[in-house]
Amino acid sequence: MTAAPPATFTRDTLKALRQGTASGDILAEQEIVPGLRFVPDPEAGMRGRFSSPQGRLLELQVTHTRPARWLGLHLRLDLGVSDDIALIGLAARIAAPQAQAVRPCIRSGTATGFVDSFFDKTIAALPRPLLHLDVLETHGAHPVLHDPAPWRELVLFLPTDDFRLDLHDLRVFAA
Amino acid sequence: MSPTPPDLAVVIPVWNDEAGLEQLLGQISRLTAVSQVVVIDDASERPADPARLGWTAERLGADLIFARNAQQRGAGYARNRGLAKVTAGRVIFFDSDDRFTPDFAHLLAELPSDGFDFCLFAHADSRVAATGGWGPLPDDERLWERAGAFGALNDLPSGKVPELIQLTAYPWNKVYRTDFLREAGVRCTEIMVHNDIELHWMSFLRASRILVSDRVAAVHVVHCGGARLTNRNGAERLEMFRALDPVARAVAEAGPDFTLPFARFTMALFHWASGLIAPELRAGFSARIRMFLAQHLTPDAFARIAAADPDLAQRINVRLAWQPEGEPA
Repeated sequence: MTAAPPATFTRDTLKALRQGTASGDILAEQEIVPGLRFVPDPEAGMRGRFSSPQGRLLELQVTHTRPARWLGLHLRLDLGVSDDIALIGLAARIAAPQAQAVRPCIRSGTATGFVDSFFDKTIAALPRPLLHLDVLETHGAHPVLHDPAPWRELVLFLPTDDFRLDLHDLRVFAA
Repeated sequence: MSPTPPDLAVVIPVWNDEAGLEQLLGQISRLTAVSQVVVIDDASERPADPARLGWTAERLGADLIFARNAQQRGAGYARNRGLAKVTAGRVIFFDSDDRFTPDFAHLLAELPSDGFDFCLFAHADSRVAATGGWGPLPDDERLWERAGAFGALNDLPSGKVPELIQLTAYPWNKVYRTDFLREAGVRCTEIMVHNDIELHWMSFLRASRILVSDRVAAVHVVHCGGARLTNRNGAERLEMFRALDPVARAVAEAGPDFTLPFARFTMALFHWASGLIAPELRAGFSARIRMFLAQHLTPDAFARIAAADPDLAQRINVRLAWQPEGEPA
């Protein structure tokens, strides 16, 4: 049997969201589709709603009762490990009525916790959607990406204040 | 949830653009939400009959109606004639050189079948695309941002109507509830150019519920030069006042919130048309502008404009003070 290409599960997760019209409250650590969940600062009193319009991924509306240290959107990755993979990339189309910054990273599970490998560029969310592209080299500054890991995630660190943000599209690729 | 049955008419005025019509019909044949296509040929040199291009209702997946004007009357007349033939509950006017984007199908999938008057969506302009962007022209882009019109589909709050009513590009591209247009008496002005001013402004002024989507659902390829109506610079431009007069009266009735938007729109239109219109017509155009402003601009309205935008008030005064050469001021 041939192994599935890298990120097959991830692509299916995003495809399910793109084709569906789910909506609801954002609940800590609960997957809104298999493989995608929000991880808020538990001390920040985060409240939020998400909806997934046709052909788009997510529209988010979030408030906090106290200053937040983080709010992550976690996407499970099934990249596997292969000497053939030299790049992990993401493409995101994102917008926000007020300018916002989103920091993406690849989180690799370890025996004692995890290691974050941040992409060099920060995603700018502006009123008119922009396409953001970035890649990490697995043989470069982030050797953890080349090592086997029990799990990996793409984490988008969302704004930590109150915000409205639309993630029109997100693609993850390995090459 | 079962999918909504197709209930959208596309009314297409066409003039000497068989190739564009052919491409557009190809796009429509892939849109399952379209139930009716009405093509009105505005007296093209060679009739732009879909049947002659090999299109049938079966191939299109929608009812197909074709009519041809005996003489060229402009897109406004063609759109009105097409609207009269519409039996679908929703309708969009789409020119033969307009193009849907894939987001149009997503928009239709989310759009309710009833309970709204029209849905406004965003456009992409080829002039923006040529600079590496994707979306409306910069002035319209700023209006979208100021209105905070954001998201795949939302109600437009009434307080934001005075912002988005100022959009200028491609005002015919909205998804209308057909009965709204008929009941509110909203139609195009039957003139060769600027026929859509009345359609656009009256839609906003008379609608009870407007939906807005930031989806870029149509793309417009702009050809500079050529014989397209957009590029005409003759006496037909002076007919814009046939569209502006009824809108000015409706704006006055709609209340002070619309005074400034309409003044900005008309002054920008006058400025744009002044640069386009043939030199021998400029004096007549300036005289018509002066007459229009004198007729519709009340002292109260002028005071509101002067308070909010002194520069605009100054430009209006210049127009009001215009005198033909040789005539004493």
